[in-house]
Amino acid sequence: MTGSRRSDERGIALLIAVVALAVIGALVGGIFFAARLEQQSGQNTLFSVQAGEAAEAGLSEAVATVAPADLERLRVGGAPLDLGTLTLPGGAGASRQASRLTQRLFLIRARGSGGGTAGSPLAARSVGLLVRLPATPGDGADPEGLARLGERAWVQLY
Amino acid sequence: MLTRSRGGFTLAEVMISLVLTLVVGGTLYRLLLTTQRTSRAQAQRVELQSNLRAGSTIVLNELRELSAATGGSGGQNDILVAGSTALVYRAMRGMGFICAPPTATSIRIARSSFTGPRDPQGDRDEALIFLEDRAAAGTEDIWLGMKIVAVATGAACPGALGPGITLTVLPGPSVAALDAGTPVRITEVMELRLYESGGLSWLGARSVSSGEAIQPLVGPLTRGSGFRLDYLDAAGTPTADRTSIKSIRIALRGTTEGAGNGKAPVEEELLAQVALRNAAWP
Repeated sequence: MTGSRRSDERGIALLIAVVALAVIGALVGGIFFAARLEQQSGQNTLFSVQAGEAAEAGLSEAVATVAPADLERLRVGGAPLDLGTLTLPGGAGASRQASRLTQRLFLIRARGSGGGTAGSPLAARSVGLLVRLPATPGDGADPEGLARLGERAWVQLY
Repeated sequence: MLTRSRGGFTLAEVMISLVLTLVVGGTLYRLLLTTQRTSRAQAQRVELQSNLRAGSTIVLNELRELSAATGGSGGQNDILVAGSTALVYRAMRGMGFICAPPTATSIRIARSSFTGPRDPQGDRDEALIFLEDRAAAGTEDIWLGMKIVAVATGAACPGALGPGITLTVLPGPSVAALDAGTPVRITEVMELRLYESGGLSWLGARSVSSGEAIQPLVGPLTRGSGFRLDYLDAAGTPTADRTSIKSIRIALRGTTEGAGNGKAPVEEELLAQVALRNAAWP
């Protein structure tokens, strides 16, 4: 009789504790999941900004350093000239190309990347700049370098 | 033996334990409630900030490529109306290069060279065609604007350039002598402004070119001051001359008003400034 009474008096403390732990665990898991999503979203924004800035830095560097003689060797509508890759701290970088559009007009493109690896970046942005070779010294452009178009030289590429 | 094994509690003990249980339970409940309220408020604030960030990104991307054309004619300026809570501007929608000799009313650009978030659209977009500088004639570069009335994609470009996008434009100044490779920008007149709808303020966008109704972009925003624009010149001082604008400062002030929880609305402000890339020259 004593034995049966003991079995009748078994509590539910363990069950309650397990359920409570499960609920608390689910809550904590949910909070961690939401925080992880926020962190990843923030990282994506960061990589996207890095890619945009890298593209603009790469473009500026290419315009400043490209030799006009190299551009003059390009054919109108022909294959673009590879201007190399600019590597920046923090894993960002930009690959650049120049194409000849008309006799004097060129498009320099830069594709910036951020995050991930060099082969498969997590974010990429492309920008371009329309430039031209001066026809004659004194036409408003630096005779030894490239001139940007008077208006709308900068191009956002998709 | 039975009495010893079933020793119970006195009434006082039960009462004390009940009171203690209630106190501890009540405290835990209040703690839980406070945590829940704080967590909800934080989530609302995070959502509000995220909403403002997304809106700011869209606005900055729209405005970055504008040209204020210092000293240029009004027609060359992408900023058409510059107000403190509204902006009408010529938005870039794509760019490509002519691939075949144009006629007076037809321009074909190579599909492979076209870059943009969408294809050109007839009766909505305008083509800006680059006319190279004629130093000898004393003229500067200009982008000649031509209204697009129809777009066709059936015809191909000559040679190995592949498919083309043919733009039928209204007759205007002759473009027949333009070389292949000439840049063509596709633009659309857009308006961004603060507007009221459903008793709340929103930042809305609409295509003026197509005459569509305004659509909400970000919101709800603080009434009257949820979207502010300041136009700055090269020295960073505010200017009312739209041909001198070099950068635009944007303030977005969001609110949780309308969430319906009966609490005071949370407000957050996001300030951003965009340099008009094409205004950096000369």
